[in-house]
Amino acid sequence: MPLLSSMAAPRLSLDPETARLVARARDGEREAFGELLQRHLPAARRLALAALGRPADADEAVQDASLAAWKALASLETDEAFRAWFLRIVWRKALDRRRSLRALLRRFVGIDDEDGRVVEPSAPGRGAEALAIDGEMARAASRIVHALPRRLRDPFLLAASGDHRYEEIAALLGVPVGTVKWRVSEARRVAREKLDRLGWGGGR
Amino acid sequence: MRPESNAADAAIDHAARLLVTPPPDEGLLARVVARLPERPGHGLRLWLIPVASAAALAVWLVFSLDVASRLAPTPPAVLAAESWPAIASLAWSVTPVLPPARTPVNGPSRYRRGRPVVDEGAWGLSPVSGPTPLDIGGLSTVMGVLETLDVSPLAVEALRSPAALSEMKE
Repeated sequence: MPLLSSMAAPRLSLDPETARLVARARDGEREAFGELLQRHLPAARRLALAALGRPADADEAVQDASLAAWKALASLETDEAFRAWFLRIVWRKALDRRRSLRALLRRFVGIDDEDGRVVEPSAPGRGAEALAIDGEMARAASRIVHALPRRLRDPFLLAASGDHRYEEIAALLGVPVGTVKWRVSEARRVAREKLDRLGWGGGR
Repeated sequence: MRPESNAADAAIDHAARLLVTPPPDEGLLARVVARLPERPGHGLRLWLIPVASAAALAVWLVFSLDVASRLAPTPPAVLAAESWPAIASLAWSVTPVLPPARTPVNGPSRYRRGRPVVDEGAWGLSPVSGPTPLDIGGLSTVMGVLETLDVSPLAVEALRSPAALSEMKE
């Protein structure tokens, strides 16, 4: 399964520069904290987006998490571990937001339609791979992935973001690494079956 | 693997990647930094909450006891010793409406609801001992309080015996 193995990329953040920035931020330097955020903001936004589905919600979760991280900076035990620590806060904030009353209303009552964000295949900057994919199939795949059960969709999207190793995903989700791998594989299998039923794919 | 399957897999992976690709952040970092308070927090230690509460309670307790001891005109035991005849009288005042204790006496008489009843029964109350508050479950509290407050045995005995009460009143 070549695609699966290429999705989760190892990223480590054990670098002395991070430790220096954290130390300066602890001393109250907001610029240093901003620099730390800048390094991890893209991953944080992808993480929140995987949980929430709406970019606006994801950005609000990241803002909340950033404030919480600033306030709790002293509880960070090792300065080099900032990235994992910060992303855990982002994930928790995103889950809080997902469980909020407003999110539940949006999900079950449908107070707005942005939640079902379907990615258009003609979006710019998608590369050659996207150009090879039929537009209809891409839209169907997007809907199917979005509609996956959360226990499958969360690890699948986190792995798809390319920001996290399976071990990090397991730590975020609070499940064993083997479970994460199985869920990612299962998410792909379920999505492919649904795509097959819609007439796409080879019916493997 | 057939080409269609490759295309389906690619479509699924591509959809997943795009679902976690946010649009440009439009100054998100600047907004976050602008909202940061002046100083970073030092972490809220949740275990401090019960500890601080217990400490505050202890301080309040010590302070209250100190104030109470300064304001009280007499120690509680002295108060009780001075007022025990009133307490005993109160206890006796409710006695007639309560059923008598069943104690063996000599003779055919017994008391019912505080009054002598002549009948053939061999069980009744001695006119001397009478129905005492101590025979009544609820009033045992009074005794408990008096004993706790270290009232003299004579005072306690007055509750047990009408004769002793009369002597004390005199």
